[in-house]
Amino acid sequence: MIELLQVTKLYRRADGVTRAVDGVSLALKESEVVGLVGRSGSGKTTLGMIICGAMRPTSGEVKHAAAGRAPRAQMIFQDPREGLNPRMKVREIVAEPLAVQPKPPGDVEGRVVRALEDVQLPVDLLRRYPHELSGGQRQRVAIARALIAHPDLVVADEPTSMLDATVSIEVIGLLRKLISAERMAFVFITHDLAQAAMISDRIGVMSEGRLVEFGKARQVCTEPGSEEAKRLLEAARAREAALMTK
Amino acid sequence: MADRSSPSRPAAGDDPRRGEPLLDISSLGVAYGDGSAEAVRDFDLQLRRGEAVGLVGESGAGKSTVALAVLGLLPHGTRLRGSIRFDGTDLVSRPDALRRIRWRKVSVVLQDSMNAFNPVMTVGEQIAEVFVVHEKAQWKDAVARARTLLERVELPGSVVRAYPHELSGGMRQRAALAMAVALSPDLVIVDEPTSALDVVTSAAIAEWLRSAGPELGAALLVISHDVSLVARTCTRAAVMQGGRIVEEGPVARLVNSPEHPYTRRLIDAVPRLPAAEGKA
Repeated sequence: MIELLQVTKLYRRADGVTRAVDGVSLALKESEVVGLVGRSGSGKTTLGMIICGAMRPTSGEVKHAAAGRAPRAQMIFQDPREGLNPRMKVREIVAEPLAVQPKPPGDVEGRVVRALEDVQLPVDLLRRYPHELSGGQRQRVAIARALIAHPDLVVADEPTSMLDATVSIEVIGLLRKLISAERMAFVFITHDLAQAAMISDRIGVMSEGRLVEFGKARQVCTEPGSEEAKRLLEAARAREAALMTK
Repeated sequence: MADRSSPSRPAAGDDPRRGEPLLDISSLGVAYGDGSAEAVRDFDLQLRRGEAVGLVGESGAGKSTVALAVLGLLPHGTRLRGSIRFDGTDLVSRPDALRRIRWRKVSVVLQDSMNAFNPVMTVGEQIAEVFVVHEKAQWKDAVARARTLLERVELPGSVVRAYPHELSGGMRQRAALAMAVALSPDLVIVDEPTSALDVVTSAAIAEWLRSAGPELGAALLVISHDVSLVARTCTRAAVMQGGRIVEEGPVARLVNSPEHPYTRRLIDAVPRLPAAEGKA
């Protein structure tokens, strides 16, 4: 549905130019879940923004399959507080993608209630403000808002990294369920290869702005081809080994 | 560099006070001044000299409140019950004793070390200042010791001249560790040292804590929501939920046969890699 050809993004800074994304080509299929994995500063967030259409590349091409129409895309951010308007109640936040459509659909209320049920939140939270919710609840609200208008594409940028471990695993399980129920492409950005593997069909590994590996999730986790994937795998294995029966 | 051969810092094994715990927290209760329920209740924990102990739990469990209580950094109006004995002195009844031991005997590394550094001083100057203020060292010697210390946490000596914002998150966290061990404290508290870092960087920090920890001679209190970090760096751990310890024991036992369902949930929450084809 989206094809990136030799996409490069430069950030100009006082002391020079940073190549945040450096000559990346990749194709994203419909209803596919792709994990973008890399360390801090590897360019994965910038690439996610370009895929989502929230940012233009400095050079290169972004092609859309659907007759040149950009996909209807949504983003989910690391810190849901930044993405949720603090002056709006949960009801208005979740309904917003419907409200801004040229022809708002009927039964907005019913859809908002269903969207909240989909993310397993009690309906009485609709009257609350973001600051009254826990981190996990806020992230579920962000997911409900992202999905309510049935987008073609969702880019989730480290959606669990500010959550507690047990909440984080629940949110991943929830995303997995919602993704299989909806027909949409999903890009999951994380520094954690094991987490990416829990949800992704394919995994792309980023290092210094480049896409150094792109393959089936299981393959990247069992037979990594690049040095960077090996490093990420080693870190995930070390963590797992600490919890193995000794 | 921190002087390992100083006779005033015997190895854990030779210490005449070996029998008594370095830190002995007993029946600790902490209630913040806002009238809410106790953030920490009936909390007991002992640390021996040189021992690495973990405190695992999630948001609101009370882990950081315990750390702040030991450091004497709880806000005014906080009510404390029970006792916190550090090296024989009760810190709850004698809060003034804290000022003397903080940094020299107890130091801390927090999650976001950007806040630990003065943004307009170089990293080297800040570490050197510790030696000048606490040990009346000459500036030139102090800078040289700062450089050695940075190399001990596996940072290039050139970091001495860097400003905090010029370092990556992982490098800053290492520099904060260097500063924390500068005065060879008896206890280093690390509170979520890796949760702002990526997996690769946090694995390296965990490995450093595991391998260098014993060599430092300091006891480590590792506070984290990540049970795998505690499993990698500690020999014993306590699991906290809702202000209380729900389970405590040697890390190997906690990991192999957790008794409390919450401990099990924390272990299960660590993402696992898929098995190779055919092995699944």
